[in-house]
Amino acid sequence: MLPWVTERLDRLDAEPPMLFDEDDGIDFEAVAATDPDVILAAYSGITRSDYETLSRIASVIAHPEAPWTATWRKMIRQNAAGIGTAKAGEELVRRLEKRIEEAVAKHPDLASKTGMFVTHLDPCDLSTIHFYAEADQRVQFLRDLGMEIPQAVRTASEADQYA
Amino acid sequence: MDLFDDVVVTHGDRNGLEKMAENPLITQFPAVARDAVALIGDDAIGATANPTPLSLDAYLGLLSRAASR
Repeated sequence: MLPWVTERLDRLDAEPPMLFDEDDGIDFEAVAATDPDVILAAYSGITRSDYETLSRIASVIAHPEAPWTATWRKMIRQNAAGIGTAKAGEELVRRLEKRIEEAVAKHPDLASKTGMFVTHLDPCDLSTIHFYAEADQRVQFLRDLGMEIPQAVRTASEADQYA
Repeated sequence: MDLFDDVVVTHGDRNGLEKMAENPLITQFPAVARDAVALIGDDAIGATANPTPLSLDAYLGLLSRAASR
């Protein structure tokens, strides 16, 4: 679990949520064992076949367009709508936008800087450089932070591709 | 190469970066040549770029340090 998640759970005196081992795809049996009311997968890479299997466990909120491309706003809206709390989702988006704005204001040096996000470099093959494409939310988030996407990344990015 | 990026964000650690910086293609990145690289690590911190309000300040700090180089 990420350190800031642990910290927040401690502060809330909350139990850690059930986590699944995703290294080998979705552990459907473990998911089924939690007996969920709904499966939130707006930000995921689930396939049609995953979707069909998961749907036998509970209703699934799948990614809206393409795998791993929902931004945080879309993720919140989609998941919130799926559990019938669209209004609360909208409020959460507004609250987070304000929080980002406040945090970014403390770093005026980042404004209009361009940033690219290189994926894991393969030390055995440094001849190709992979980077996250414009549709990826890590890249979109740099924009939220007041940064810009370099022209080279925009040109090389295909629609609906995250890398 | 026509890449006018001010900041490069990537997974990995210092060691990996040094290895990467030996590569002639990669040194063409002006940001890498200047060390304006925000290393977010392969470990937990690596997830920081996937936006969460809980890690926002830590991530901004990393980016800001890279941008100042």
